[in-house]
Amino acid sequence: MKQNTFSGNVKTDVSAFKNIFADSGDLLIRPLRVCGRPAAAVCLDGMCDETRIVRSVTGPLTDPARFTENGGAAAQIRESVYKGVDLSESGSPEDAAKAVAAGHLALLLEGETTVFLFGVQGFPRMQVTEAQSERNEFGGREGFTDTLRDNVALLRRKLCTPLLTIENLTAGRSCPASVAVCYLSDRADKEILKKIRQKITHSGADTLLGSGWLRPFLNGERTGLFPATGITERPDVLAYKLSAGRIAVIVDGSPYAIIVPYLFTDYFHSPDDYVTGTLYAVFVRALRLLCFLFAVALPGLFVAVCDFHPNMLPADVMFKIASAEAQTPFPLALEAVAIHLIYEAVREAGMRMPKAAGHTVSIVGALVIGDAAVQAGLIAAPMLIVVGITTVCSAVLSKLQDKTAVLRFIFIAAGGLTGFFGIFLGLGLIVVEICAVSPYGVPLSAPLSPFEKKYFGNGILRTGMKKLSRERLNVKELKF
Amino acid sequence: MTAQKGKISAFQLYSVFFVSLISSVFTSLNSEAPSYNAAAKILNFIPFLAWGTLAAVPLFLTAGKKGDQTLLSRCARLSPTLAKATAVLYSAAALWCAGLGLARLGFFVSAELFQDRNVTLLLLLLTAAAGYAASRELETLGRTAVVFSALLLFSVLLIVGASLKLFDAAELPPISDATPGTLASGGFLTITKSAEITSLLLLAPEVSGRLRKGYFCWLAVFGAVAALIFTVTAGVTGAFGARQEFQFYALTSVAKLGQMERLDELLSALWILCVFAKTTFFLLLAQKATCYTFCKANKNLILLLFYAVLSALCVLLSASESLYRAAASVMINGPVFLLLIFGIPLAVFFASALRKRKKADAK
Repeated sequence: MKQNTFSGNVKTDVSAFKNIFADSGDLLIRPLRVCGRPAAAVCLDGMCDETRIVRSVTGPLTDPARFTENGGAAAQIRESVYKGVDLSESGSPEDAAKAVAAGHLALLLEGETTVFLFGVQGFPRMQVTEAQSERNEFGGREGFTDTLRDNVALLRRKLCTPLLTIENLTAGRSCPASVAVCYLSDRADKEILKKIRQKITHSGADTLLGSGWLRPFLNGERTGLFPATGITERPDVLAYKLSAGRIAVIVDGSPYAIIVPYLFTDYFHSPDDYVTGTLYAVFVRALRLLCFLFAVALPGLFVAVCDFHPNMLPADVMFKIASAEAQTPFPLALEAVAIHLIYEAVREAGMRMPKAAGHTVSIVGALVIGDAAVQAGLIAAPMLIVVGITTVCSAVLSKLQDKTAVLRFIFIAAGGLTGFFGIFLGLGLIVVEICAVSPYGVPLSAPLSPFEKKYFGNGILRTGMKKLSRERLNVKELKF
Repeated sequence: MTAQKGKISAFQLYSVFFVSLISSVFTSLNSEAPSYNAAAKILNFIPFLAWGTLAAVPLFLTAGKKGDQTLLSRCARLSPTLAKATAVLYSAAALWCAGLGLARLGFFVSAELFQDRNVTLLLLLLTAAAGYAASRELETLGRTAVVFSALLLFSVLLIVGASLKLFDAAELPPISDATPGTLASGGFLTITKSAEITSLLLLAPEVSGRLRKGYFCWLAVFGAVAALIFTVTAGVTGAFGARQEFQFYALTSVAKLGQMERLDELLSALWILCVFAKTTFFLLLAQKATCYTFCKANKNLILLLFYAVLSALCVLLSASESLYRAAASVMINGPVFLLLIFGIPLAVFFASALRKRKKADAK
């Protein structure tokens, strides 16, 4: 039977724990005597730091010198015995079990209807390593880890100010996870903050294994192609975003922080932009935008030009393309779809396979697609060049890779069936999709539309570092 | 420039107007009004500004001093039946204008892009895309139109810049060709194609910012861009252009930019974007008018219904060129436009004023 409160009888309460954990093999129960009273320590194997348990919990508990005869054992534990350990109490077996599952040690004491929870977590955790998905040349190197506390500490190291506020929340019904909402209290918009809190606490998510599980709830009611939130693996990027009035949501167990709200122009920013010269930074941002357009529409445009609008290109260029395509048996659109499917398969294999085998797959893929297919006359060389350019361009914007991969196929179909008509209609719809997102009152399309001059300087272009450092940009200014 | 919550800014609204209306400049048909010659087109901005200023009277009288009134709210105060009839009329007019815009694009696509092919499917595809965009609300369209406007202005300047080396002032028509008659008829033709401005009768409370000042700025900018396009077109294409059905298209097909042999495909792309925005806007307008008066809840259902009606209209109008020409004629659209922009709003305004005075007298 389900027990809602502790009975004060150690044996019964230990049984309650066993029931909740369904006699799980890693549930450790250690009977003790504290001040002559029966007691039990409950924890999960591998989730606690054994040294800390011995030094800070069982050691003092079994040391009679620590207890005086006056005053109850429980009161003394509360007041003086465990000063060096994070100590809390719980009267509900369910809550206590959740704390044990998170790495706490529970102490049951005969006659007490609450249990003591000692913060002696010591589970295996990932070390701070270089950010893998957002690499840069000149900026900081460290990336977030899987542990919430470490991630918050990494952020604190970047933003050494008491204005950095961390709100601890819990989300997930049956498998809850700790969630930290981080912001600078003088800059974050209170309304946005309220909305975020509501979305987290009322998400209704059953299981929360990382930021990817929470992000859809933060993206708003009607999510389109482009989400209203962004992610980052880098504490320095997050620190900069917070300084501009954004709010971060970090979920325990995930090395990615969610940034709310997010702007479409953020996809084209890199930490290196703030180290290099202004001119180069502006050039690189424009290049990234061009790469996005190429990654999405170049194969479709190529198919459309060759199939429907050949008179756009100079005659000699068109003749070369036409003569190469004449050697292949398949229609151009089909050729484009097939080669991009193969590319996506090779990419996926390269990512999922062990590193050593991944290289082999890449080499085989490159040989099969690049050399053999052209020599066999199955695929024309111009198409291969287009695929090569598209691949390089899509790699430039890794955060948009999932979107570009899908859109590319849609544009190939549009270009192959309707020529420029479909291509430009598709581009129009992408603009609509970008402009439609604003669940927090800050449009994803800002600062371009609605145009905001102050933000435009760092959103699309990049103003000089002196000016940028002095300016206090806040995303609140883009809110309607 | 940022809009308030639930509203679009005046800049965004006039960007929608700009994008939607510029297509009528791109698609100016020579056969549409033979008297509307090249000189009249270049000087068209004068009657356009005059007509636009005149149209501002009923538009802003209806909106009221604070800009918080709509034609439908005024009608509803007079009689709920009148409000319903007005909503139906304006919704139908919006769908009619969208249908004409789509049919015109279809006419162009079948004549220039996909010769001898049935383009109905393409038009239905565009209508569906516009229906989807309309479901994303007016704020989305407002933001989208700003992006499109920037793109359009840049592209127009690119085309004009690329054509300048072919420009010959000797090809420009003598000013004397533009008689007051041709100017007036040309100006009226342009205004009848500007049904977008009737939206001010319905949307004024949903717009923040300087509505009146923005209107006149928009008239000036649009008139200037149109005059620039017509001047360059006449100066580059000359007598050859005058014989072409799509004169600006003729210009882009001879213009060359670097390795791009022709710029006509760029114009086609711009035209598609313009018609997409135009169709979205009119669908939204029809939906808003109907929802305001009939049912506020089933917005998407109404939109779906209008999408179906517009698709049918588009299929019908694009089926035959003669039917399209008859439907798009000034003889039909002119009186309708006069009724929508002047007749109904002024009648409703004066009726409201009269009623107000009667009530005041009775007290």
